[in-house]
Amino acid sequence: MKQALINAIRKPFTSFWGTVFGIILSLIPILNFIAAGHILKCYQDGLKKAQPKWTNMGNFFMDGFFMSLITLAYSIPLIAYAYLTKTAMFTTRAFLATPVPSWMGTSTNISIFQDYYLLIIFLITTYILPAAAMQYLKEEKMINIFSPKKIKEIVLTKKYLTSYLVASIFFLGLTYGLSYIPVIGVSIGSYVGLMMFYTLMGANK
Amino acid sequence: MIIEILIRLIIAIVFGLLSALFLTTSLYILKRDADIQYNAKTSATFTVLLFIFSFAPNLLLTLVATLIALFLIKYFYIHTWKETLQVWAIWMLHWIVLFGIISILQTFI
Repeated sequence: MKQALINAIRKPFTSFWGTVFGIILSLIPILNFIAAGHILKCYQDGLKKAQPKWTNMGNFFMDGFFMSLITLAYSIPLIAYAYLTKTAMFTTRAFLATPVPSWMGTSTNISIFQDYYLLIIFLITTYILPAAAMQYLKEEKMINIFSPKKIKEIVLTKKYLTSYLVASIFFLGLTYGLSYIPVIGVSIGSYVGLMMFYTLMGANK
Repeated sequence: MIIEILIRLIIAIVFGLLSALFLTTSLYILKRDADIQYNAKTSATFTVLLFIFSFAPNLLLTLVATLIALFLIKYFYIHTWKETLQVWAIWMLHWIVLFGIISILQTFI
């Protein structure tokens, strides 16, 4: 765990231009699938110290695209509940109770932390999601991501829970800490945070 | 007035201690030998700068303080710029995560 954590913290800084390239890609719609694929490669690399090289962009794109589909599928209960209760979770800084733009059809300042049902759904979703991604990367079959038995085997382990908690603290801290920088702050935070998150998960798989 | 200065000083000292701790862990993460004396000097300078800048707090001055710390890391450890920036980036990462967690906790208070 200790070595995995050190690797996870160090990985975004092993290649400065690689990280900058990833952050830029993650800002551009559609191309951000490539950045997501690159992050997933960090999971597959496990304990490797260096960042994955920016080759096989096609594979990165496909992995990132499928990861987005998995995220969307798993987020359906969360989105539906948030929409029905008009809770402010569609904005980048929703957790800090930023008002939702009027075009979203809601005008509430309720933060996710003020609605405990939403918070529970959110926590369950984010807890299962990396396991679904792991399952997809292991067998590259979309059907397996919905297999409760396989997901349960990954999720109900002490190693997974510890990695999730540690990685979440880093990811949340980094994303919120950088969210004060307009436009690029959240992108930097998400990209670096997710890279650390999946590296840690990959090292402990 | 004296109490206010004392509070600022205490906060700056806490930040200085955290700074030394973060610098040590940053060097540990990068598997470099950390010299406690150098770390203390860097953190002490950072503390003094934060204390002075706390009378006119703004983001730019905080950035100046962190950049001065960057030059001190370079000066003390005589690393190449690439290595220095790696240490500094991981040191900054510690701060960002800490402030991020504080801002999340603030939503509960």
